[in-house]
Amino acid sequence: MSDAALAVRGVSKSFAGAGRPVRALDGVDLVAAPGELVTLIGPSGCGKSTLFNLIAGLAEPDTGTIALDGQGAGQRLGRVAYMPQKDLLLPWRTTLDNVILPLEVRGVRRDEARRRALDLFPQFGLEGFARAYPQTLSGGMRSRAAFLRTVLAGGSLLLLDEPFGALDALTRGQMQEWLLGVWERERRTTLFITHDVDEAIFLADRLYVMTPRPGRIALTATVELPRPRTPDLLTAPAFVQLKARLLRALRDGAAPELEAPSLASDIDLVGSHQHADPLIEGVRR
Amino acid sequence: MSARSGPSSLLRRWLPPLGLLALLLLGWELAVRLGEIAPWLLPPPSAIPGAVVGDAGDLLRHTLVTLQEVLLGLAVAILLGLLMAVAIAFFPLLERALYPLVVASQTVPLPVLAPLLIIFLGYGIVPKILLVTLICFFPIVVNTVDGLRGVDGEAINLLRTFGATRWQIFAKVRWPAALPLFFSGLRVAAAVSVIGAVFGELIGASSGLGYYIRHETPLFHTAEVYGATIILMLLGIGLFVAVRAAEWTLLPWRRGADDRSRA
Ligand SMILES: Nc1ncnc2c1ncn2[C@@H]1O[C@H](COP(=O)(O)OP(=O)(O)O)[C@@H](O)[C@H]1O
Ligand SMILES: [Mg+2]
Repeated sequence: MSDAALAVRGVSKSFAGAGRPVRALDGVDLVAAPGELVTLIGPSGCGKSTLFNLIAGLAEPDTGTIALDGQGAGQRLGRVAYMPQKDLLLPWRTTLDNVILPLEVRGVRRDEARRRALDLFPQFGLEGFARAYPQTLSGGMRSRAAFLRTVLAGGSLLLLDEPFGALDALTRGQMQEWLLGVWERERRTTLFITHDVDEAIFLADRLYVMTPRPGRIALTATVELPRPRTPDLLTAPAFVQLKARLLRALRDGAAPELEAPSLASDIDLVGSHQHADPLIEGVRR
Repeated sequence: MSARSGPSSLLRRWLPPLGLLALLLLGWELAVRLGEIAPWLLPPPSAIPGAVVGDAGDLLRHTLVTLQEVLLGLAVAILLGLLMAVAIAFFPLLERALYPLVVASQTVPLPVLAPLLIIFLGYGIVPKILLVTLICFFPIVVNTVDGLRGVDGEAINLLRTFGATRWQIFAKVRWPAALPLFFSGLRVAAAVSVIGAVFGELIGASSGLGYYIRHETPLFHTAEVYGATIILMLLGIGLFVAVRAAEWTLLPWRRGADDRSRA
């Protein structure tokens, strides 16, 4: 697929650990079409953040290739908008000045950058907090500020690493709908990491499930739920069936020794013995 | 928090040290009067203001000389300290070369070094500036190095994903992150800076409060000597407060942080 916004092919990565090296990623393949919202779900420690670091260009894979907009070669730093797991808002900068950091780095004049960012403050629920220091913001606001900073970083690909991971369930639900609103307006290719199954399905056009160390793709599925997505989808049959498949894939990955199907369904809490929904087409690898 | 800035909180904060000071002074005054100690041996505190006012012209002149030495010495220490801190924090080779020397410089006893410097450089202002620099740059270097090193690597990576250059990363992340620790170092430096200047003046000078003290002591002008000593203390305290004020102005995001940690 040469028109993919992102194409990750056979990417492996190891880290020198105490003693033998830790294999974080093992032969990961992942693609995102332009404008697609792809979620990536896996247990913590399975290499999701590592994959994002590689895509963003902070490190290079040991083997495999990463292509942005069909280009496999060249510097990736500065071309991808990356929102790391921690919000990393700088305590000495006001919210406004934190948000314009990527514009400043690109040489946009400070007053011009501030003006552009301020225009977006209402849309990001930050109105009135431009001059507040991040230490004084609520968790949800900090996430939105970090997200606005990411959006201003430009680039056609957004990488969001568990952006709502630290929020309470209620705030998280609101943020998900709000994020979808922003995404539907901007239609930027988005890769979204989560360890929340509901979130992975609710947001996605397509999703990937990863196995624990070493991280591999266990399952990829297309989510054929209608948009705009609303919270009542969480109880729709198609949603519940896909959720059951994801949970099973996650659990099989977590306990690879439990290969026997009978055992696998014994530990399936959701009791998802239904056949795959025709709406949902997945590739089990 | 807001109550802390009110007048009652100011009172609560300053009352204990001032009260203790008043008590000590009272004890001193009573001891001298009741014990009939000769004023040239130990003057009562009540005699000191009069002595200072009586010699105001001279004292002012010498105070300005000492202040000038201290400020210049501090300025050189800040410049040198920051340069060294950046060198040590960014170049491993320089770290290995410089850090041991920086530490060693603090182990040379001032009473040995001061006369040597004066033999080398004469009775003028230069050896005093050097002595101030020598005792001030150490806390600045050590603290700033810690600050530059302690920066969150993830924040640096974030800037890299924006396409930032090394210089932009320094200017926008490392340096601002290190500033609070630089100021802690500078606060210590300001408090001890006066010691260096007075040491030089005691050993060889023709002006400055150290010279004044050495000149007045053999004349048994003990009250004047105490007066000069108090002025020296006030200089140190004043510099400390000035650094605090600079910190408050330049690091608005830190306001209240120390109140919080003290509480
Ligand atoms: N810079 C690094 N050095 C050494 N080990 C690392 C490094 N980054 C990640 N790892 C290891 O790689 C594995 C995957 O980590 P990570 O990508 O952060 O997982 P996730 O984001 O899925 O929770 C973990 O075992 C982690 O300890
Ligand atoms: Mg992670």
